Amino acid sequence: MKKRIHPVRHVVMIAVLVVILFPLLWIFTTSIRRDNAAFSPELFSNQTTWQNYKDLLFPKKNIPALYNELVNVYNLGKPYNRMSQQEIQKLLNNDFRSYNNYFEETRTLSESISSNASWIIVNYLPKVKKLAVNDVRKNSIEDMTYVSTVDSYLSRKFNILPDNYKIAGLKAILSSVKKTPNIYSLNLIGSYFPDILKTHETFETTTKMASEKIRNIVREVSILLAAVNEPTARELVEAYQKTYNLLRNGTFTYSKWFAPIYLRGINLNTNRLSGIVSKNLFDKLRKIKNDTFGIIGKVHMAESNYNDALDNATLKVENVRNTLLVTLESSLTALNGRYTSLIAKLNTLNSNSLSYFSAMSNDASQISIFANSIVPTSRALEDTVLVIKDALKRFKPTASDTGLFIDVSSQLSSIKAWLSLSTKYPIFNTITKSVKRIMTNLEYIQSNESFIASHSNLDAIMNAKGALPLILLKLKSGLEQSLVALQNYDSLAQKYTENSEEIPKLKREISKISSQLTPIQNKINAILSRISLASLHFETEVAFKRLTDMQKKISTFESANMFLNTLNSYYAILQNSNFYSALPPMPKSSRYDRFYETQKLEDTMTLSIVTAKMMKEANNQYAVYLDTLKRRTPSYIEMKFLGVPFSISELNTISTFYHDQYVSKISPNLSIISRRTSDMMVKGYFGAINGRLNTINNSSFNLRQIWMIKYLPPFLRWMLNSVIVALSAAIITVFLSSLMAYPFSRMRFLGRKYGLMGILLIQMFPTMMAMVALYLLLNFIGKFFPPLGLNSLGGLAFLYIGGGIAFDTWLIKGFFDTIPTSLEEAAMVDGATRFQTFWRVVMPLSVPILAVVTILAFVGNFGDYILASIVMTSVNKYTLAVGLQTFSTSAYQTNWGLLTTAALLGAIPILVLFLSLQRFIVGGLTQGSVKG
Amino acid sequence: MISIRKIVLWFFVAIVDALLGWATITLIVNRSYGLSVIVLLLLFFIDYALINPKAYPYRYMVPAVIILFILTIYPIYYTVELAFENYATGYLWSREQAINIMLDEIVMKPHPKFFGYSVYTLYKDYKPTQNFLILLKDSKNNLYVATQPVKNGKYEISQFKALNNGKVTINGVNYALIRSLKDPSKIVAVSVNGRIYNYFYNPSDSETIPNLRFFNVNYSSILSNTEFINPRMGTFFFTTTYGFNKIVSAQHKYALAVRTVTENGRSIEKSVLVNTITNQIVQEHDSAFWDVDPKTGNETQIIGYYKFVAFNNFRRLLTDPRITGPFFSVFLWTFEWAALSVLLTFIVGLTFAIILNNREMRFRFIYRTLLIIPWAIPAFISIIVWRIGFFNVSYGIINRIFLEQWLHLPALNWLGDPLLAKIALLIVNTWLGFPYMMVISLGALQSIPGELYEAASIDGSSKWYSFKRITFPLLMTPLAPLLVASFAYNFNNFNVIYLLTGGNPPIPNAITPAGATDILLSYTYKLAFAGTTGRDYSLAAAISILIFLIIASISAINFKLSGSFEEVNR
Repeated sequence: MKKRIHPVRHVVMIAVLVVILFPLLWIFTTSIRRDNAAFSPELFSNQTTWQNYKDLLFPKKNIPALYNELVNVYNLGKPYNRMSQQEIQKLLNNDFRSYNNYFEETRTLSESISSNASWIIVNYLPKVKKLAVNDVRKNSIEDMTYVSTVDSYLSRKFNILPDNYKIAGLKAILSSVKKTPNIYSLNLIGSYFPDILKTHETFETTTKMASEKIRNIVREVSILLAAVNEPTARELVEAYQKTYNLLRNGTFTYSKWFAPIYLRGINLNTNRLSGIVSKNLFDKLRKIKNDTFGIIGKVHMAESNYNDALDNATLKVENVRNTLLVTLESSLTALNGRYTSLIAKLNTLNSNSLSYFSAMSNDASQISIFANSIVPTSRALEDTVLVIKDALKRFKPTASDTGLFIDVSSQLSSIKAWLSLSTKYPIFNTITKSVKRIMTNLEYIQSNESFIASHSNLDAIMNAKGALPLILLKLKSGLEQSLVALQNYDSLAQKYTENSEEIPKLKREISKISSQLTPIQNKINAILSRISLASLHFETEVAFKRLTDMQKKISTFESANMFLNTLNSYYAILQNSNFYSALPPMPKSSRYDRFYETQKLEDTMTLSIVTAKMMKEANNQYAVYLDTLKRRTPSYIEMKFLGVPFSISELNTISTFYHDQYVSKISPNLSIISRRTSDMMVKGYFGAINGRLNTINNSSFNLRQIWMIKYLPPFLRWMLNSVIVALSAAIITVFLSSLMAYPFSRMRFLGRKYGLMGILLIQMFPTMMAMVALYLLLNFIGKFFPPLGLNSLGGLAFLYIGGGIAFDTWLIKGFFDTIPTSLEEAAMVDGATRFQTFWRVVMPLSVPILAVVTILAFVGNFGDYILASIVMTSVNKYTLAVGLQTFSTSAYQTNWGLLTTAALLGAIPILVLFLSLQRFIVGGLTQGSVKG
Repeated sequence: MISIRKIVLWFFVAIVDALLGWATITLIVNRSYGLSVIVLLLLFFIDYALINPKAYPYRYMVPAVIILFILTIYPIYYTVELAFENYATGYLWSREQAINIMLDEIVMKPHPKFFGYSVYTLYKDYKPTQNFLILLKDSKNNLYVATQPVKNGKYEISQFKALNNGKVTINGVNYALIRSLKDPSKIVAVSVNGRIYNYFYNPSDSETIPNLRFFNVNYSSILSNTEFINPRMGTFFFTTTYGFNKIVSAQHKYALAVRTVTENGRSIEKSVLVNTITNQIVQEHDSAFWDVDPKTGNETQIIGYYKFVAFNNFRRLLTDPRITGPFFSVFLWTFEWAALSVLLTFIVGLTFAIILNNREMRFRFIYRTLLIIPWAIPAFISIIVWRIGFFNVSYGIINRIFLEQWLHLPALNWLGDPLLAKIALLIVNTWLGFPYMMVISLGALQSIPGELYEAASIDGSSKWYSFKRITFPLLMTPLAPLLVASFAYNFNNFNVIYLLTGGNPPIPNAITPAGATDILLSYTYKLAFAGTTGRDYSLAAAISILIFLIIASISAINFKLSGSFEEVNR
């Protein structure tokens, strides 16, 4: 048959394969990423590194790790306490050498960062800045169109608004003018409040004129005082000068703090000069001073006029706004107040109900406690009365019966009170029944008192007379005490009922009020929305004019930045307004990416230079500290060996220094630099310097590898544990199973059938279901033979062997059955014993199959998690399956680089084994499954 | 020749018997009766197999049977035993152990006396040794010598006696104080029959702090277990309240005593446990000992012990509403999970098998190999990647990149929402399991003769029709037992559940640690090993037995289907 090509089928197959194998692809790409994938918005990254593989397979101590080793060595902790002094000295020398290598490397790397960054700032940045400015100029046209569209849209809506809404909308812009006056806003306000514009103009011109005059005065005074060599004179000139400066900058009015100080300075210093300079000169100075004050006074006057105008306008706007809302708001407040008070009332009622209820159940339980004594006593009373009745059966009451038997009237009265309450509540039915019984009996005694008393010589009556006082006493105390509880319960129950009736009424009232609230709120919202439309219109007018002016002036990077800032703050106002959804869509902000990227480039490069400098300094300082320590080391070691207890404070100094400098300052900067440079390379605006950015990125990454604290899991140890346990268990299991399988396959003996059935049954019982027993068993064995106990590789292998034998025996027996017996018979004829035929004939024939079973067992053991997690408790004894799970909870949870690397490294051996032997393994697994 | 072999054999038998005999005795001494019976059975089996020539076939089985007995049969027996006891947190001791623990408890007397103390040590080669004695000082600054503690049963006993003029004789040993010449208030050493014990450690003397480490390592374990006895002053201990700061007059909280108790309406003399503080008899009911408060009559549990409770655990499973509800939801989900897993993996696997079964297709082998990969990676590795990298709520790429970034959808709480967690589990399990189904379906498809299809196409049947009428029925004959086996496997597929969701999210209001995605096996595991509020081993064992019964019946069906029973009879 000829093979045809079905392109569509292959394309679909490949697509499906990509989806199915995506996790694997992801594991690989994530394991070689340089950035932190758990926080990156990109699925893949083009910044790659083999660092994770190096860290797991060939872990190398970096600076913090070396430091930790130093601390351990100096404290002679494990395993260093077993080393000799020479060995420790040698070890330390090695550490110091590695330290020096790292210092050298740090120097080179920092140097490369700072040189590249300065090159970029000097040679490249000006060019891209120019490009960015052009970009802004070009793109801003679209924004201006947009703003004007918005402006005309809003104007149309604005124009149909009634005047008072328009004025109410001025509030925001007025308050902004009050803070910082600008010509755009003032012009706008001027069309509603001409006063403000006029006073502001007057104020400005006054200030300008005053500034001219004071300038002349400054010149004059400095000439007059040129010859006076006194500090006071200098101070006077200075005070004039500063006053002038304030006026010239137009900041006079807004610096309410400085102006009076300078004026006081003028006044004070002029007065002080009275005795120092000639009278003539002093008079001149005084005149000048008075002139100055006059000028300043005018400025003040103009200013206060302007402020008054502003305040008036604000007041008017507020008034307009309030009149629009006043009636509605007051009714809203009233309703709201009523609403909250009702809600509070409801809450009290609810909580009352709850507290009544709990108090009632308290009382009920009290009563049930007394029931414990009342119920049996009632029986005793009944018995007593029965005895009396029995004794009196033979007699008839006569009129002559006299005497007192026993007084029960007080009990009866309390019983009546009791019953009048208790019969109301069905929960007391049981006890009520007993109390009723008491009542009937007591009534009998009371009504027949004289009859009984006249026969008191009878034995039974005498007995009853002896028993009754105690019974009555018990009854009295029980009834009286429970009566209190009962009364309490009754009053509470009444309150509870009243309370519960109140609640639905209140709820109805509340819902009525809330239905009234909504329309008012809606009206208010409608008014507010109109006002905010006016307000937004004003904002837009101002922003439009200002932006138009600014856009024309864009020439430098700074002016472009200012334009964009203003634009963005205006856009933010738009986005937060209610009308945003009605407006046409905004131009995309990504059009200014180049500009922002350029800004970021400048920031990043500046940061790189600063950080590289810091790194270099920290590095040198660290080296100095370490050198000191190195010099003193032989003495320190000797002291430690002689048992002198002391702590090495140099180590603390180094640690503090490391945390102060690297951890809190340099490390965050380095991550920022790394991230930003890699971002910039991806975005591709600066293709020409990609090489340099890459160098900076590399260097900062490498610096962090040297300096940051790494928590590396003992991956190789785990892997080794897994392999040792899984492999040894697999080999032993298969050996024992083939021994067991042989007689089942070849011999006939008592119990063969039930033995096989038993094996079949046993292998269904998963090992992990007996885990409690296995845990205790290993614990027990471990007491006598630790290598097979808990937390030992042997113990785990032991469990795997036990778990696998039944299944493997069944499997191997099946294989043995397929081997023809003729070979064995031939061997037996030649004189071989049974065992020899097994060992020399059957086993060699089944080696390939046994190998496959071994590998299957190995793979199965390797993948076990649960038994290993129960048996292994110390980190160094973990198998890979257990160790890898620590990634899901510990600090590695977001360290995807290490996680995926460990996953890949752990998976590859099994994957390769599986795929290369797939035909056998698949065959073995499916056959095995047929059997169970 | 033969005789040598016999001798070797007998020697071997002797060694095995000795070992197992010793093990049996040790086990009986340790009260592990179940295990000892198992070992004894093993011993008989081995002896029989090794000694009787007719039992030759059994000799091959000896090593495997030993291991089977210890690691499979005994645990099964133990699990069954456990299922009928109330072995759980709070009830982890046998009754005797519980009584012993109570008898060991020490409390301070209501108005205790205190001693400060100093340790004096015999030095050898300028190093402190294990020989030490204690100098006690009461609140009136009277001094007493306490001898080196001597092991006596469970406790160390140390006698102490007041010093008279700086001298005392205890048990014929003379103790004499040696005072500092410079400052006579300081006692620098004690002479014991002429040997000098140097001043070593005193908790209130900061100068001796350097010796604290040695004290902690070498003496503290002895001292914490020491009763200091003086015939006139009573017993003193280091108590947990004061640690190693003071020696306090104390007593055993519980003691055995003969009291008159009322039992079944009759008063009898009986040996009972008595609380020595309240002087009340300790009550025993509900598988625990209880202290009675003499004023209120309230009872507080002291310690529980385990005992045989018959079918109580099974009854709890069926009647206690707080256990039953979660248990049945777990039970139901276990079946849903196994069935859906088989169904999904089979559908996906069969689809690929049908595509790859086309002999005209190129690169079939490559596709097949690539598709096997999910199966070939150890499950614990792929599951953790799915869990951390894909399904994590805040970092996982499904939420963070696929849903939020690409599709602009809200993030889903994959492992926290019951339904989503189940969906996530099924996705992962399908990914893990479809290659197996593909492989077995491929095998079965290849065994269907092609002539059938040719005949069908001549008769003009459509592709779908021939799939329905030829492929599927012929496929199911060999695959049915495999699917049932796969159902049984997934029924107990602990790894996926436990490693992906841990059985979470928890079912609200359950008193056992049941989760919405727990299957029976993971639920059992959590009951026994991971309960935060307590471990209920017996309930776990009871559920284990239920699981075993279910699996055994499923497997029995399967063996019928696959003819394994016939193989046994062959």
